Amino acid sequence: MSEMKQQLSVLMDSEIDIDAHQHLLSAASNTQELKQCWREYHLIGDVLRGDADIHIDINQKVMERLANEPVSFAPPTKPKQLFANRSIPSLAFAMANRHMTSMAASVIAVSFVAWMVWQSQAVPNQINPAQNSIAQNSAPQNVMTAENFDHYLLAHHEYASGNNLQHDVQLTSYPEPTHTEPAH
Amino acid sequence: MILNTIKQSVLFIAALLLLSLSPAHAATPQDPWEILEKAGLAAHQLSYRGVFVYQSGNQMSSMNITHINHGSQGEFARVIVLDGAPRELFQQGNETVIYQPKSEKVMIEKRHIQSGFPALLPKMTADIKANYQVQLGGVERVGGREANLLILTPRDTYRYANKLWIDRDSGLLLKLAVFNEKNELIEQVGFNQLLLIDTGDMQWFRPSVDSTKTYEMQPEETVTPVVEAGGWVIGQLPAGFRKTEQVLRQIPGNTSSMIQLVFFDGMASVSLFIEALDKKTPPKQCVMSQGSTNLYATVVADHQIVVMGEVPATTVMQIARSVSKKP
Repeated sequence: MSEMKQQLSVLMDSEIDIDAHQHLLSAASNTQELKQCWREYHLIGDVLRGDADIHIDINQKVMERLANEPVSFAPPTKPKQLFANRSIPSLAFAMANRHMTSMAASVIAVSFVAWMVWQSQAVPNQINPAQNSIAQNSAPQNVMTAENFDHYLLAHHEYASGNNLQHDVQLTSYPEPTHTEPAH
Repeated sequence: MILNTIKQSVLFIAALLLLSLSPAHAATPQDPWEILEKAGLAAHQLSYRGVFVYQSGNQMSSMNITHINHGSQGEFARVIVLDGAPRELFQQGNETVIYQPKSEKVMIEKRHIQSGFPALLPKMTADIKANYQVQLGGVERVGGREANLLILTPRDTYRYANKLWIDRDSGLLLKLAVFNEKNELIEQVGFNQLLLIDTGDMQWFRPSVDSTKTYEMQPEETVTPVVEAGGWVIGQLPAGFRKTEQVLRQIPGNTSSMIQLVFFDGMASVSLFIEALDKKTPPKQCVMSQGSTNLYATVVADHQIVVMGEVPATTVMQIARSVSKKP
């Protein structure tokens, strides 16, 4: 088992050929302990970064497989141990290819900051649609919370933001996803 | 050895960037559009740490931000909400990871968001100039720093007016205030502490992990550009807006999907969402407002329509009411 963990770790670090080690991926999915190990590595890879030795170039194939892995994590009991002697994969992982990059320039979107505040604090104002002539035909409003619209807000901010800001800094090193021009 | 070389390169690049943005090098541009454009770049190119405050109505919250530009290795930022629930946000390029504690669990969500204060300003285009006017409003002090005040006035009532305070020294956006058509302040965000930094240290780029909680990753949506909007037709858009995006959003394993269209006026954007009504979820029909964000939800042809953006309520309503389905 420990040897498999070691191999799994090496696989995560992209030091061996993923196609030649399919069994590790299968094992990682089927064995509880390895699954846990895999999840912890994945958790780190997805969301943590530990030092200035930044590796943006992550093996795309490994990360594509990882993207399909289970998504529920147990907390690490000793978080610091997870960082020991490990190069930490970039946040820029396979999902970059599944998403398109917005072609819209950034916008005056204070509302993303507002979103950070929104849920943990007050309930937003609700305007009675009947007060607005444009909305006179609307049905009575439902009682709702901001959480009902959380999903929309976040989706909106994937576009209402500086996703494609035209400046000299190269933000990431993964290939730009293909963008298809929308219909007009 | 390699680490040292990287650190040295990073410091060198950071020094170059600071130099290129310094007033001595560029002289303070007097064209307000140019000041705005530079503010947009400075937010990404500079490395800084500070505390900013968001305020809208009776809501106020402070946030701590650290933003480091590692040159060719990209941008890294961490934002921590200091009041209320301890939410954290990590950004690398346009990859964003959000940590949201919810009772027993901590939800982790990955998104493609690169916005947030002070990185709010777009590239100046003909669209902005067609829809807004800009003027210089003198020099004021914000967060202990001298700032140029710029006033951005819309040419009609489909968008909001903004006041922007831009650091004379670094070119960074220090404060933004949004005003409605009655010239009432509806939302503002600004630094009360700001420090330009120069570091290769990345120790700050890790979340405060609470080992007693369960961490749960939210399922991630796939987003695919689509040419055909499923037989939906958008009639007359509010003046100055044009469609910039048309995508299909789908959560893996979920049979339902949602169409998202984005309209942009050069500064503000509006999203239109269309999804088939789900029998389990009651339809939403309402108008909501939060700061400069307005949202209008209605039902058209058995589909939930949600329109939202940083624009007045009339703008989102007009867009929602222009939606129809081909017979």
